Amino acid sequence: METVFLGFVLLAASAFLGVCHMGSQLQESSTMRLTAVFLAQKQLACIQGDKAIMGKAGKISWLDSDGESKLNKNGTFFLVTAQLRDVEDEPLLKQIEVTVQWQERNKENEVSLIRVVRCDD
Amino acid sequence: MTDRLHQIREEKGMMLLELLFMVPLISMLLIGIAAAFFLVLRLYFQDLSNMELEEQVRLGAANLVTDIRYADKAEIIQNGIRIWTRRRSIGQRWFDYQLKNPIYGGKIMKDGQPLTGDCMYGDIRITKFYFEKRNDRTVFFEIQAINKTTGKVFSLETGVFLQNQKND
Repeated sequence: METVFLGFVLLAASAFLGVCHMGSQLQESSTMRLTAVFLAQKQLACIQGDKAIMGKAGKISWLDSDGESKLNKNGTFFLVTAQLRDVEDEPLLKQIEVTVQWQERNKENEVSLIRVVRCDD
Repeated sequence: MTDRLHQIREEKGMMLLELLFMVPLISMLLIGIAAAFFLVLRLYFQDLSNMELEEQVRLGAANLVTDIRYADKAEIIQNGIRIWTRRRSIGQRWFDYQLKNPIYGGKIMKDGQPLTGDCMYGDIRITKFYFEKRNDRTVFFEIQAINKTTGKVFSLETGVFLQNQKND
């Protein structure tokens, strides 16, 4: 009887601790994702505001002044890359795709933002 | 009869021995569980205040992104940015985003009203409110805040392209 009671108590305690640990990990993940999305927005703004780059197509690395390919933000390294593509039958439009990659507990994660913009704007 | 009495005495002895082991064991276990519970509770409230920290920075950044994107003009001022906009009812006007009390870490003020700073679980202060104009139509900014309760620092940096302004 006591053993069953103790078993239930331990099971409840471990479930509670497990849920709290999971919540903490989820919060960490959301921090990284939020940081990545804002970095992607920065790269999009960079490309959109640069006429010389908008005239080309191809792969673009991080455009901020320090020029480093890996950025350390909020304790995590992020790799920002972008791809500029022409839009079919629309010579004035370009598609920008920015990808931000980072590693979280030995797992690769990434966020991609796509925006179609006018290059003569 | 004597055998039966002897057996009962032996069973009673077993119960007492069991109790002698079980009471301290259960007490220690319950104390351990209670300690773990309060530790987890403390961590939970720390997590809540860290979530608040992120929420405050995200709120400031999201407001800035929207307002700068649709602004007619944006100019960098001391501890902030001035955004020029046009509204049908009142014509062109400007409003400022400024960091109040920057030395000790403060709050972001939008048009004289506090945008950040209302927190339930943590003491959150904005420590960095930095703007840079890459060109006429691109503004970079970074917001950094600290949670004084947990010591956690969080920052967001991004860039905005002014869509309403035309290239010369």
